[in-house]
Amino acid sequence: MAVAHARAFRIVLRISYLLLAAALTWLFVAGIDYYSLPLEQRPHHPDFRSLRPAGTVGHGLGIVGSLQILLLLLYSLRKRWHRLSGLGHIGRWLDAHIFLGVSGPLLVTLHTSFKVQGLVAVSYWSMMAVAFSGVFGRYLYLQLPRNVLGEAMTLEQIQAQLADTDQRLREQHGLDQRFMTTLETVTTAGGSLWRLPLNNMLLGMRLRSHLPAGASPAVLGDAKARVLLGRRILFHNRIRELFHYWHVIHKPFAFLMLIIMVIHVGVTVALGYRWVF
Amino acid sequence: MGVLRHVSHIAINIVLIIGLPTLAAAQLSPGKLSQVHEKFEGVRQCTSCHELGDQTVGPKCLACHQEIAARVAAGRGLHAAAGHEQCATCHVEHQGRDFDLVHWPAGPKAFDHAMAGWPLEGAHRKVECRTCHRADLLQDLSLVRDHGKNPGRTYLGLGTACLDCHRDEHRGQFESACTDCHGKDAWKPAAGFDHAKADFKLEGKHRDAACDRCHPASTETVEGVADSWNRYRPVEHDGCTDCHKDPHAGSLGNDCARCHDATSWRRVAGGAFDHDRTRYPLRGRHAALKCDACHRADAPRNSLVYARCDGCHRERHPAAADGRTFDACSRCHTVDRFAPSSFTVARHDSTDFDLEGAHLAVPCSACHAPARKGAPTPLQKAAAACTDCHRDPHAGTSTADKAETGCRLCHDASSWRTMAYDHGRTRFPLVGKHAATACRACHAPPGALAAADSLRFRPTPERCDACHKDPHRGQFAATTTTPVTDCERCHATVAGWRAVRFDHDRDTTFKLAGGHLNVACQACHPREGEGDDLAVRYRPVDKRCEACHTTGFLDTRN
Repeated sequence: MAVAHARAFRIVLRISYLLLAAALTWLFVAGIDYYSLPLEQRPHHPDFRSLRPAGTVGHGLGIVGSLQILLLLLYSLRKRWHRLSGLGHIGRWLDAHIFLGVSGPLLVTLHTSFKVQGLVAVSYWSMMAVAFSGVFGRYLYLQLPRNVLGEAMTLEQIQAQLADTDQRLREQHGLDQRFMTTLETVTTAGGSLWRLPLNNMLLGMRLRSHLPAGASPAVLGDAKARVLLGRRILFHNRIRELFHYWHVIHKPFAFLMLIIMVIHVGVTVALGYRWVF
Repeated sequence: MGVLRHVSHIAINIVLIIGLPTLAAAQLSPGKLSQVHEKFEGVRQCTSCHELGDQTVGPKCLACHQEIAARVAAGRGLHAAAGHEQCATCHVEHQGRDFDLVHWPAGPKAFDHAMAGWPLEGAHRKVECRTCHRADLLQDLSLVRDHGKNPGRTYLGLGTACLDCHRDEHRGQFESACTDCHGKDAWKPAAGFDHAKADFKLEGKHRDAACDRCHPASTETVEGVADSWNRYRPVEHDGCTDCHKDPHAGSLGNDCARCHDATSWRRVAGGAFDHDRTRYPLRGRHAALKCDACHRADAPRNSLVYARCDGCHRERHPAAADGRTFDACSRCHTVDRFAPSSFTVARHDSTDFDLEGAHLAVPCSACHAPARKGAPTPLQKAAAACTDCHRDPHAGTSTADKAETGCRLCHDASSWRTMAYDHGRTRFPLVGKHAATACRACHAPPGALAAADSLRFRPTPERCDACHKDPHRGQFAATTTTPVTDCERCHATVAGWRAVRFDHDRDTTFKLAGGHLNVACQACHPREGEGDDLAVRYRPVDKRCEACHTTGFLDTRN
């Protein structure tokens, strides 16, 4: 049942990304004639009334994008409010958070019509900082192994999982000590934290050269898992430290963005710009 | 670690709490205002233009732009038109200092001027905007005085009356609107003007006349500048002579319409016109002519030409070589007829050439013949010499005599053939038979048929052998190398050419004596030769006796 839900969620998520890409492409192509004009010429363009930030389309994009940004805050609520802890898998919440974190800024970017100035520019660039830091955070997030509930594992839990993996490689797959030593060597050759992503991507190719001929995919999978666990243990403290700093970046900019956005929306509404309402 | 996190949060909160309001105050505006609205820049002045809760800015725009508000309130001009209620629809703000708030989507010339309440028509469409919208034509000066408008930029304040932009070409002569007469496509012609509504109705030829023929340009110097315009009113029009010059110089009165109407000056109401009232009463054949025989369309309008015959008639007599002309046709002709002329022989005698003799019977045209058919007949001829009319039959061989008395030296006017000439005036007086000899016997040129008119008088050789054949065949020539015979040494013309001057004893070396005196000449001078060579031998003659006498004769004598 849970697997079915997860599959359905992935399908919906992929469709959402496709629709988002299609919508953004259409909006961008339809408005590129306007967006490509110098700012001083835009008021004279026929699409000015619709594509300007306060225009029919532009204002709508801003509202939808802002609502998406507000919605993605539910992820934080889900994480922090224990009453919601049973509401869905935290990983799916994160996926939705990421989708909204991608879609919202892009729609807001179209809302600005690439004219970013004034106070709201602070909000915009804060939003972009939050979004890009989210990508980095997602990477850091993946470097911290998690249990089935999506909660970050402690170093001891990871080390125990590593030990289980080593045992499985030796006993179930019959790998000798020499190969285990090789795995340890590969594990420690992951390089710096900044080179780690690339080395992790190339890990499968490197392991195949060390595995015995005819080794099953399961052996390769367990070997990769063992090396990745080993590397995450090696960088565990560093990643956790970075993750703390990431929060320092991600959250304050999110707050800054939200505050200015509220001011922006407040001023806009106060001046009577209520879109179609 | 935890300390660092808390320090970060505190620092960010300080930034948010202290910096954000300041940032917000400075950056809330979506963009800088244009230069003219720069004074409204700043977060505290948003509501100077914006109405809270209502995105429209129009009311507050008009609160400042009262000149526009007044026009909107009055329902006048572009801003009062439907669809122009929102100022920001056209005048987009927050686009930067240099942004021009007045935007012409397709340029000022494409602006639909009707939206401003005054559609451009006719020639107005072709002029540049600033031809009319310029500072010196502003009618509403309060725009500058009260609202600080730039008179060089504003499109307001222009009047809609023609004279608000155009100069009054008529200098106040008319009270009616310009458009009552003039269209907007062009000033001329004044298509709306109907002269029939004026006091003076245009009829006939007046319709075709250019306006300035009756309404000439007037010039007046105003403040040192010459100003010229056409005077349309008042224009005196009680009588024709107010505009027209009276060609009759008042001799026919002032009522031109009694004979003329406006259709044509030349068309005269025949029955009503008495030509006798003119300076040229119609007499003779003129009275029967139709008017247009003289008053043709191509005839000069100046009636004074009719004072002279050649005003209508072709000049029949060209000027003489000395330039004299006959300018008084009536001296010879009458209005009843042209020919025959009343010029008599007696009047001819008053000229330099009296008609006499055969000239009296000669038709005029024999002397006064035109140079060619149809050409004028010359009346004055420099007839000083006969050869001005007559051909010289002597081909100039009597020039010396003519220089003295002309042809009349020999001839007179009674007849050419009647001739009287004293040959004694020449070096060859006619004596003897020469006096009875016909002229042509000596003066006919060689080869001529001896016609009288072919006589040549020079040169006429005076030697005998020039006319006479030498019967002596040169026996008495002076020398053999100069075969000239002096005939008169022996012969005398007065004696019938007998050799009366010959003395045989004197003139020869053989004196006649004795029996020789009674001997016939031919006994010693026999005829010799035949035909044309037949001649009496006079010399040489053998003088010896035996040449004539026989021997017995000689013996007897001795």
